[in-house]
Amino acid sequence: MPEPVGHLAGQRAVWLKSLLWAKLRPERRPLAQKLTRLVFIVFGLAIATGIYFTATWFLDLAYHVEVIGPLLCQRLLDMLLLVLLSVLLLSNIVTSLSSFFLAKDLELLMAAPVPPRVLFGARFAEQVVHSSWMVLAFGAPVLLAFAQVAGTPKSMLAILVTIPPLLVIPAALGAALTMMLVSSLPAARARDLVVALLFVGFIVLYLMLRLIEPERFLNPEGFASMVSFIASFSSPTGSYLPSHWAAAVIADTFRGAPGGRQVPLMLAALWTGAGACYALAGLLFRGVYARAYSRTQQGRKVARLSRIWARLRGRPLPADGEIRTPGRHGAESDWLRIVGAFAPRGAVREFLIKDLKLLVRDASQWSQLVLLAALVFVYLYNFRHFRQLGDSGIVGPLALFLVGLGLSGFVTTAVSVRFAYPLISIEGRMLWLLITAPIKPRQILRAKWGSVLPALVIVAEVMSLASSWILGQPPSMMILGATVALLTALGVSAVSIGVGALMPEYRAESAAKVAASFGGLVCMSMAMVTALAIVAWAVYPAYLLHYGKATRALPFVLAGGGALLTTALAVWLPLWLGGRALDRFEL
Amino acid sequence: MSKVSEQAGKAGDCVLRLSGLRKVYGKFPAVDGVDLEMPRGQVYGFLGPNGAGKTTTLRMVTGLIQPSAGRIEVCGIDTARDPLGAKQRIGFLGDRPFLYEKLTGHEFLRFVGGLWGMRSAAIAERGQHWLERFDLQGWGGEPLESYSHGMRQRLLLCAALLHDPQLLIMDEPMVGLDPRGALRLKEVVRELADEHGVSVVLSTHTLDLVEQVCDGLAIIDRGKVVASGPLVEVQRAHQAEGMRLEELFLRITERAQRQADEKVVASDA
Repeated sequence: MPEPVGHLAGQRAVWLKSLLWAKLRPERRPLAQKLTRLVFIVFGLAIATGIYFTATWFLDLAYHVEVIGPLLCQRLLDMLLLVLLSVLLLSNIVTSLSSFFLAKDLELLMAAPVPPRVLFGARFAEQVVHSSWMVLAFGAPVLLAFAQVAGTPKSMLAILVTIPPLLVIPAALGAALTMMLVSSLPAARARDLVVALLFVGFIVLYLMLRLIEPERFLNPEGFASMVSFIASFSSPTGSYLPSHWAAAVIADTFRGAPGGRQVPLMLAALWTGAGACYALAGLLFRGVYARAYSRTQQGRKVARLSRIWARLRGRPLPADGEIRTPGRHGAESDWLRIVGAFAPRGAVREFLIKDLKLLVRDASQWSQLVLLAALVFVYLYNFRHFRQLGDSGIVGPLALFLVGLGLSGFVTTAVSVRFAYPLISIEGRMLWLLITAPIKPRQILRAKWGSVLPALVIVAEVMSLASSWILGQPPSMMILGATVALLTALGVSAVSIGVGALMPEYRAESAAKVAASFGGLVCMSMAMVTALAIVAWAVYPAYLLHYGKATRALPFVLAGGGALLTTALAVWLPLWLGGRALDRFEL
Repeated sequence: MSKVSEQAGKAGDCVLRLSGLRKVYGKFPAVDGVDLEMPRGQVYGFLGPNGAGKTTTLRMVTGLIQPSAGRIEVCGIDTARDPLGAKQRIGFLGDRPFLYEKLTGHEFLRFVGGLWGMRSAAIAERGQHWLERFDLQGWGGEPLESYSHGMRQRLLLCAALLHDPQLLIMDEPMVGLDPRGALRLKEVVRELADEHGVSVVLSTHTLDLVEQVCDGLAIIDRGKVVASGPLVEVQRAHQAEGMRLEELFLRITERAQRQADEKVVASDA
């Protein structure tokens, strides 16, 4: 029996250390995962370096704007820290949901005699690390650039002193907000709602940044209008925001800064604010956490929202004793009946209906669908600029058409890797059912392929036709583009499903994690090669059509045959190899 | 008198036949030459210490893992030649009740029925029948994430029985079941065997269950079958007439342990 009374502080330290060690220790990983991590680190470092040099270049331009240069830099710093704070808050809400309510080890910890303060401290530290490292990794190069361009040696110290409270404040607020949400919303649905709202928040933030069109900075006129836009903010971004306090403290160390008397006060406000937020979250933890956690363990309430929604639509859920059957004559909800009517009978339809249901009921999944819509929107929005490039004569229309095909293939590939590649892996723990069922593994693959193909064809065709329309291509080129999009969707989706079976991630907790794995990288590369190979067959026919030299059928027959053969190989080989891998798979 | 003794000797044609079944991981033989025959309409208890090879054997029968050697026949069908034909006749309940959390009970049964090629009407009728039998009639429309462990286990039983299997394989079926659920399971198992001629293999550590519902048993240790047949025959073979199954099990497995130890000593020498 441990004797904690006399050594409570020591005991707490032991608990805290072991809890943190269990969660944040470096893990032993297999070689493939180490390799993935290495690739990501190199990739991340390259991006961070790029951010640093771009930010240095841009800040240098801003700093040397006559008269208002230093002020402009201060404003930009203020805006940057505000964006970082907002992103950190969003990120912390998601992470705190996982740290405080969804983590698998919570069951054990809640049953153990760990004092609430220790549990909160450990979870909070873990949350700060998990939610902030990425924001910090990409924010740090920009802050470094500020110190480099406008700052003095003191600036680095100011950054080091102001960043920790800037990490703690959103973490504490995020944890507090999540605890309140989960304790007041109906149990498990709260987490879906939070995740969905946050993804929408991220997308809005992303779209806002995209619509500002940062590429305008490359143009001197655009830069001038941007400077006037930033300078037009006569008031600070918010005197009561911690990001403003931090910006003021850092900017005070810049060259030629007037030296504000309020700086020590703002530094004090930052640190005491962080302490107060932490204390507030800790108090809330003591007050509501046990009840909120308990609510997440109660499952039956989950269905209440569905029932209310069904009643509002005038379509009550089935009475006990009625098993609804999707398909041509089923009593399934409208959209599923339509899908069922078009889907072939057998395994394809079963998987299609099942996967669609899982997709729309999992908030983390349909938020990805919103992300997909945003991706297509941003792609088409940016594509307008290509037409301007063509109009200015810098790039020829034929080259633009081919670039459009390539970009459309790239987006199709990205969508396919995100949604088709994880389809085998997400069966994970349910493989026992699929393998014991009297269906061949190849049928499973074909069913998965069939279930994802129509959606991918629609995405590819929308992008191809819309970009051809934006570029003002004639119908013949549009048809060529649409054909390439169809073949690309066919090939790329089969490659994704096949590689998904060859390099599965059965232990991954979500489809997003599957797509981000080493297999996902391999799949992305293979699918890109496939898409480019199919696009390559369209180059000569596009040239003939564009210059009006399409007098003979032979080049089109040869290119079409080549594209069809490439697609057939891209469909058959991965599905065959994937089927063989699944055939040999042992559970 | 126990059920095992009562049913002893009842036999029909063979539903499951294992011949020289082996599974080797590296150099370690998890299953080392298992021979077993199981008649139609009988309930067999599959017993053994932890790591003895019970689950591996059952997983080979269901097709979840491939044997390194040997032959498996289900209702006369060689699983290596016609795996789908064999699977069509098997119902399987695994030791961990994983489900699609976002589907409802009805939808899960619909999906499973579809995989076994059942028609919608049959799925609805059979599904409802089994949901009622396992006291889940009020839960079919609820998402599976709201099911307790025992309810998941019962729903998986419904799914395993949906397509009227001729061979039902259950790995630790009693885990998580409440007394009522356990009683219902025992009733259903006996009913399936007695009235519908279904053969049932139960891998379990609950020896009372074997005594109450099984017609025969097989004890597996270190990948080998060390005893099999109706309880009375196993008792007789080990000069232990009237002995409780628990005591008999310990005697047989301890003897197997001693023999294995002696073999190691001899080979070292």
